[in-house]
Amino acid sequence: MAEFSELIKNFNKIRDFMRDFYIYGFKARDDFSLKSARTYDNEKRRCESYLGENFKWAYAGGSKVSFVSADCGKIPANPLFAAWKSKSFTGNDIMLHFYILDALQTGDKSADELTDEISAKSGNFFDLQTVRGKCAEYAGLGILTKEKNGKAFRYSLSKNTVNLDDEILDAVKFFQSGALGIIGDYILDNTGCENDLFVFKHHYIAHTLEDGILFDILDALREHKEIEAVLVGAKSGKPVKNRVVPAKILCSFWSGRRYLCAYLPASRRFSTYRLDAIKSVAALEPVENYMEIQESLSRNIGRVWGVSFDGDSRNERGFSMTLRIDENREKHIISRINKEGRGGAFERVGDNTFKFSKDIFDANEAMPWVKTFIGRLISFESTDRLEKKLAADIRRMAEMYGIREEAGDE
Amino acid sequence: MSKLFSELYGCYYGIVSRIVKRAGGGVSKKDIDAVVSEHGFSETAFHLLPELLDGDWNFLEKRGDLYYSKLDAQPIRPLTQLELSWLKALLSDPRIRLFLSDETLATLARALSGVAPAFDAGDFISVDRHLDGDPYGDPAYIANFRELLKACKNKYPVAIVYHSERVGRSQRAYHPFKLSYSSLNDKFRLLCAAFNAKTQKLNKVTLNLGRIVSVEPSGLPHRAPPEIVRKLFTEPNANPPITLEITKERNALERFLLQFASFDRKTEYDPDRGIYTCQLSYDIADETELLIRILSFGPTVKVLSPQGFVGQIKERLAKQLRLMHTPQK
Repeated sequence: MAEFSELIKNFNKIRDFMRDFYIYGFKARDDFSLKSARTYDNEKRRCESYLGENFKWAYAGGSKVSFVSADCGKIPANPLFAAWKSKSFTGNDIMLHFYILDALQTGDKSADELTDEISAKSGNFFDLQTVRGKCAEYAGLGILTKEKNGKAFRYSLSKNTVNLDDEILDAVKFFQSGALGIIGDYILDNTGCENDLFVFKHHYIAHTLEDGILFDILDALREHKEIEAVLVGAKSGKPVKNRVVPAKILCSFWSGRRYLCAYLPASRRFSTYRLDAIKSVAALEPVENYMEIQESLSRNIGRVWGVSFDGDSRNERGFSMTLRIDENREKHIISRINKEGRGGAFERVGDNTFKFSKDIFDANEAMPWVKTFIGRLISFESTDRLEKKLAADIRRMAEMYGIREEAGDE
Repeated sequence: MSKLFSELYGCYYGIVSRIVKRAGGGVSKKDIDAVVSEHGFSETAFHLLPELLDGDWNFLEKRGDLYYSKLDAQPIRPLTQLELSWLKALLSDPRIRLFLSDETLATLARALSGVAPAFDAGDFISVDRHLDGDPYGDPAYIANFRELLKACKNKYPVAIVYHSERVGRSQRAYHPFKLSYSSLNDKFRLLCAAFNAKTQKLNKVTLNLGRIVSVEPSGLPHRAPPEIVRKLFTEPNANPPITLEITKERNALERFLLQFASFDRKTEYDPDRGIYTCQLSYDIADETELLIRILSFGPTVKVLSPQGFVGQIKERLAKQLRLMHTPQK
């Protein structure tokens, strides 16, 4: 049996497990049915090792359940970043890393000179090809500068860098909670800094598990390229390939989900895909009508409440609701609707009575928000189906909490 | 993906760098153990130390009881192109002005002029971010932000003039802890502590930065030790957790767990009833927000306790039923 290694070659291997332990948190060993028992044991052991005290367990229904839990409003750094820092490497990799960067602190050198110097200093033998390969790799990563001198290349520490003063590092401490924040965390690690200034509310730390996918999409987006995205269906679990043109990343800070908003050339429409359902992304060729796609999206996005471009019918005109609000004592509710209403029309229609309406593609997406006004809803107008569904939901909730419908009494 | 996931940024490289740095002047085995324990994963010591101290990673030599670095200089790693491209991306975010002076911003922009940004702030659309976010371009807001950042960093009390709708303008001394940012609200808040004028008890206070009129270092003596202020904000929530049931309908489980992923919570499944039970720990200051978030799930989520919370849901439902049965003019 191969010896257990804490480090891994492939990030995707840990991504799904970590997500399951963090988001779901109620799965026992047997619930990971698609994976072998040994895979489960190894990945669980890794997650446990990476996450330390945030990895917990409990007994539920006779089974031991492992889960990840943290109050994200109190932690300075994303504990799931640890997964990104688990890449395996060889002894040569780490030796060459430190000895090459050390040797170049005194000035530029050729691969020949580096090979001799490193072998002499470390006491280990390195061949020229290996050293040259590592130097070329580091030049590609931007750490080293490679310049031709006669027939040979000479390497030096990259001069293309910035002075990370306190102002910039404070900014990095903040932005490491945002898009591709793991890169900010790498910068903090490299400078020996930690975020000691900020905490984050409505912070969805699992987003970092999608950062690899996000990075590839943003790369294609910047170059106006079509992509082939492999998605795994939530129910079928089967991978499906989609050729799409990435247009934007849609973020919901209420639901905690991020989506790729993409144009589908075949059906000439926009669609959205959850980033956590995308397994891989391959960039294809640039598309010629990229700007037209962006303009078309700008024209349509105002009618998207969340992420859906489809409603009950193409003729759907959104929704409106009339609310009872005490205009003297409940100004905070009026202000809440103004800030959460996504630009919908909001007007006073009578004493303590206000009407909100918005023309959107898919009013079903607004239903969770509408339900936050339970206790104030005088009327709700949308499609027949949604009107009935809301009324039925309220009746079910009343029944659930033991409230008599006739008088609204318990 | 491959650019992001590299051993270069890994935990082991980071630990070796720290140890070799310390080993310039000699480092004990105990200190090496401490570095691994502080910065490594739980099992790192078993894998890393044998390679570093007795294996092929020839970075240290032992002389007497101490280990010394075989490198000539302190380890450094220049920023990678990936890191530079991320820094360049920050320049497109209006919040960068909170941190960088015009001069630093111009210097950074010049240094990164040849670098392609990892993304543009415009690549992202926040579908539900509140529309009354903080005014990041307002010079007074920027000045207050920087003063507070300095106070959080250096842990000194500040005198703040604050405007609230209820009280109007007021001035008081506060002991800053940290700045809290909400992506949903698009607002910064100052987490701080202040003494109650009557009881002289130190209380947690949260101030919206957008409502701070002015801030300056307080001339008052520093009465609240930073450690006490920190404890106020890091101790576990004292109020009982919310216990609720989630059905399998409408993908409610996944929607709920994703939405509440940022809370400390525990979920269990009851296979006999096909129901999930979740215990959610929360800050009492967030109770109303939590209430409406739970209401948004409709009949797919039912709160079992605490009774006060259940009572608030019942009250809203009763009001709603009365509205539904009241003929409208």
